[in-house]
Amino acid sequence: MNNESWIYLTNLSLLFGLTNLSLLLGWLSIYVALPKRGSIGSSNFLCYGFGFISLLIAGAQVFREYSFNPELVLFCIFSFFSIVGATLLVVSKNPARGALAFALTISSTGGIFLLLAAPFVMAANIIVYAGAIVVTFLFLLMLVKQHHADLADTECREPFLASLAGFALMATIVSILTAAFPSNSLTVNRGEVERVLSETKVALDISNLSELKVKVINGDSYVVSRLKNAFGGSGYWVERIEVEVQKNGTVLLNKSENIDEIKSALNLMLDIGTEYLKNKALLRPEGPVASNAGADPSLPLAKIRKDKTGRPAMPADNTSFLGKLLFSDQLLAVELVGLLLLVATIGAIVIVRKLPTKVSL
Amino acid sequence: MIPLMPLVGGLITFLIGPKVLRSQAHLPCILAGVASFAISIVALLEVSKAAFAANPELSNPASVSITYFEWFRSGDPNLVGDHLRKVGSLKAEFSLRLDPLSSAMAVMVTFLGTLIAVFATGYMRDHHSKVEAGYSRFFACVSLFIGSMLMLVLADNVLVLYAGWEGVGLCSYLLIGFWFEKTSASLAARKAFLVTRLGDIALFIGLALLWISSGYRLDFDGLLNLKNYDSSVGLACFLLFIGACGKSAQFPLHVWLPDAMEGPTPVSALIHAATMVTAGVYLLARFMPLFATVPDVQMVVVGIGTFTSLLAALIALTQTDLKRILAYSTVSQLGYMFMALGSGIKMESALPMLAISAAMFHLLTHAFFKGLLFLSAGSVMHAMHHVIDLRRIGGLRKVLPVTHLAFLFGALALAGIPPFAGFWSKDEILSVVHEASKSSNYPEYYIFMWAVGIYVAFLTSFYTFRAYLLAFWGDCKLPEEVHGAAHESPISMTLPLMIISIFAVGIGFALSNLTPFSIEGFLSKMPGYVVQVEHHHDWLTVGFATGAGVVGLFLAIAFYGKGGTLSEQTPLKANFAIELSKNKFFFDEIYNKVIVTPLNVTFVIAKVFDQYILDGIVDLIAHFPKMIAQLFRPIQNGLVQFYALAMVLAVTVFLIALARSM
Amino acid sequence: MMVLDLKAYLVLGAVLFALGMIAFISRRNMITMFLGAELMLQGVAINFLAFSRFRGNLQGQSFVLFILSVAACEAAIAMALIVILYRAKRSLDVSKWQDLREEDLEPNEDLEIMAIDDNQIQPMPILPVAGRRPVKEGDASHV
Repeated sequence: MNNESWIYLTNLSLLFGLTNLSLLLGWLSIYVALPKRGSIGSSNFLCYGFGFISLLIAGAQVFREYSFNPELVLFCIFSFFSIVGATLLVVSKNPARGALAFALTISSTGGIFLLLAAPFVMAANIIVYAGAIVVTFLFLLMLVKQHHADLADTECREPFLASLAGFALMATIVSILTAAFPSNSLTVNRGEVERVLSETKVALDISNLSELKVKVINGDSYVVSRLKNAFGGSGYWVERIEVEVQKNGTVLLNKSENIDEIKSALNLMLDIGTEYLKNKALLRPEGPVASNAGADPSLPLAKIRKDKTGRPAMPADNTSFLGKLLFSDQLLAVELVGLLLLVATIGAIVIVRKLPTKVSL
Repeated sequence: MIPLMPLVGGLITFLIGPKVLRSQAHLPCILAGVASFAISIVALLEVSKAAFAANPELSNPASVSITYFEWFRSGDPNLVGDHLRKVGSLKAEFSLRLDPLSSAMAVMVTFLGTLIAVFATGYMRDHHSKVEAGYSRFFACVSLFIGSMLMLVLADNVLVLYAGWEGVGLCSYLLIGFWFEKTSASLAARKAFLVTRLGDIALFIGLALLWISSGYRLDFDGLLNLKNYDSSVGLACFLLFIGACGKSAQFPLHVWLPDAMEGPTPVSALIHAATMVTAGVYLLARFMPLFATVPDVQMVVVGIGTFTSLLAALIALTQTDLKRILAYSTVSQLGYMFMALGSGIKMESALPMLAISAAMFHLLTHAFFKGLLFLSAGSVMHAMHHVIDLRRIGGLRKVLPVTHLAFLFGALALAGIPPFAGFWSKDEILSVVHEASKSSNYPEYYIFMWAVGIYVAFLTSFYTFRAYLLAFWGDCKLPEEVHGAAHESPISMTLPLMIISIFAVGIGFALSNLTPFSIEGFLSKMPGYVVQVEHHHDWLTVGFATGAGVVGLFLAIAFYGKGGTLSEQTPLKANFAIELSKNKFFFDEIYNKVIVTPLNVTFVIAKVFDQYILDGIVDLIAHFPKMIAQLFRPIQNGLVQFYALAMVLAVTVFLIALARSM
Repeated sequence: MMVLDLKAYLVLGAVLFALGMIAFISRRNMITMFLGAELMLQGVAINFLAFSRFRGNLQGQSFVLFILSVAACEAAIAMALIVILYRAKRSLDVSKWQDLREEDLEPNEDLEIMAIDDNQIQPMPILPVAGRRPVKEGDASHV
């Protein structure tokens, strides 16, 4: 274990601890707020308190991890309102209020969609959900004419277990994501691996020992640490490098004066890197990809056009591209969805129609 | 070829009889019978020509075995010796065998079968020549029976024999229960089937034992020429004998035959007098080389045979049903045949050959005269509208002259009055027993059997003529069903009567004394037997037996000469004995008490054991999963949200496991 | 320090998904349950869009559009179903439908609603039928 990993580990544990605290508080808040038999008004304070503390911790972590810019501020605002809306939906005793809270969530996620460069989806989302579905359900509430709060609204089914299950799932996903994106994940990529490997290949052609050392070692086994970083700094592949190359190789690369030994170690590294690329290639989608969809997913991330923040370019006016995509490559799917909508409409009418004969349900 | 024809005839009758042929349904049966008979005669002539021409030193002078096709095969027949035993190879061929024994049987079966089928064409109609219901069914069964019987007698290996054996059993069942609307008929059919089945099981086990001890051979050549006799041969022979007892109605399995008289009379004549019941005799004759090596079993055979013949004769004394008298007489005569067969001891002596020839001789003559008697009884039944109670009929000689004569010939033959058929064959049997007493280790035993045999001869003569006199002499008595309009049977019935009468009269003399037809000379060409060169009559036996017969005849005339009613005239003072005899020695009742009742008790015990103990254990085992299930059943509470919760928890656990494993 | 990355959006999607799931599992009102399910779909949509954004590929967006259409169909059908289910039991409580349990199991009975103090339960706002003058209490002449 080198120094680097220690720092990483403490960092991780600190993050993990705070995240867990945030999740725990969120769970408590939801559990307290869920309508239960005998729940009293004063528990609302508890619930709000827990919820705000939880969101504050989460926000602090976000601010701590990412650089401060308008995007981050907007993300935090929209996330805050969408989560608050979702929480209100979960805990509201009145389904009408729940529906309105859901509309709030939809609006906020619309902002998130905008941040994700999907204006058309944002618009469609707000029209369909906030405009159609929520309103329709408000009408439905009117139709069923519930004159008083039902037991269904004032009591929950298994509130403890349900909230525990939800937050356990949330915690699991978050921890998986934390493990999967330990550092800036965009730098852990195929492109870097490929670059390192191609440099190594070039270096293998050098026959002069000192020139080779300058090129690949540079006094600090340069190529090897770059490759390890490209692999993500830890995990199976890094271990393989450490065991197979560095055990002999670091010594070898630093101290060895034998050009053949250095070259064999480099070859070994090259093999591992190629294997890594081959394995990661399995995760890529197979078969033809829609030509109008933008960057080919099978392309290495390094080759994708980037914007100035270093992220793949996604122009805000991508709606026209989306339309092109839908009505060329995915035309059949679009038509099928249209058919599905028609069938659903007819089906809804048939289901809700009063049958001529009395049908006992 | 010979059994094929009746089988095909039966098949044809089955298929098209009810619809197409209707009242002509007898045609395929009779035509096939005639054709088979013709072929049998040709085969017999060929065999006899070969038999008399062949050099006795040749190993297989007069026996032809024909393999038609391979029936089935398992294992590798090319492996021999110990290896064969381990593998348990089995090769079954459908092969038939022609030798003096089987060809004689075949001729008898086809001849009588055909004549009886002709007789049945008249019998199975009412007095307006209208056929009965099931006419074609009857002839199909008869045809099938003749085919199966031929397969039985011509078989060259035990599997074919067993197939024929079961085939005749099936036909017997079908034909006894021919009038299945009658409860007594269907019960009798069931009884016959079940009782013979007991014997069949024993036969099968015996054959299996033989198959093992002969080194897995199925053909007779292999079975009968055992190289080393081990202890299982005695047991196998005993089991074979039990099988023969079942089929040939020997004590203690004789109870089915009298009841089998519920079937149509031609069936009684064909199956239960002439052919099927002699299958046991044929079986023992066929396996004589084995039986001759186990004198203990042979003593059982002769004892059972003698006892059965005595018992049946005693029962026959007091019966009033004409057919039942004949049935008991059949049992008695079959006992005679077993008596003869049981005398075949000591393979190196001439006794086995003598035993076979005597038994077969009696078998043939008995087939003819008993068939004749049954057919005559059938004729009487036909005329009397199925009334054959001797208390209600009498003095029929004027009404049914042809039938009367036929019955008289048959009775004389049965009683053993010279020169009718029974005289010759019965004397043969008694002579063989007498001979056997000289070479057996237990001479007194065989002498005793011989004496009983002579006494039975007396009884036979007595009850036969009792029946004859009661039926045909005395005052003319007609049952009221006839309405006074009794008449002789149609020509299709009387013609076979006349033909068989001639044979019944002459066959004994012909087969015994005329050299070209001599049964003994013919059968002696069978391989592997020592032949006694000069033929001599045992005059002592002949004298005694004939005397007994004649005494019986005159005694019967003295008692029943006036044809009086039975109730007034009691021949013996011992009422208890008469009751015993009338009730067939209470065999059915004893069997009920001794076998059926304990079985019922066992059933009850078994039922209780099954229901409360076995089922209890099974239920107990079933309870464990049920209890485990009881733990989890509340999960299925019908609440959708509960299911969703369980699903989410499971997915979470799965995700955690996945994350940890990465 | 880095700019906002994929992880932040995925976490947000997960949070929305889990909250929607809690709503679906624990709430007994069928309408709330349905809205919970839609919330889960929102979380999934954020995931799709985030992946789409950070691959520079539009397929995620098109996928979200299909999700939207299916959700609309689902809403129509769900509404119809809720209406007939309500007609049958005069209640939106999903717990009224537990007939698919093990046959000899007792139904999961909740305590009677009378056990709850009526004063604590706020009356629902009643939306009057449009285009008609609302009927006042005790005034039957307008009907």
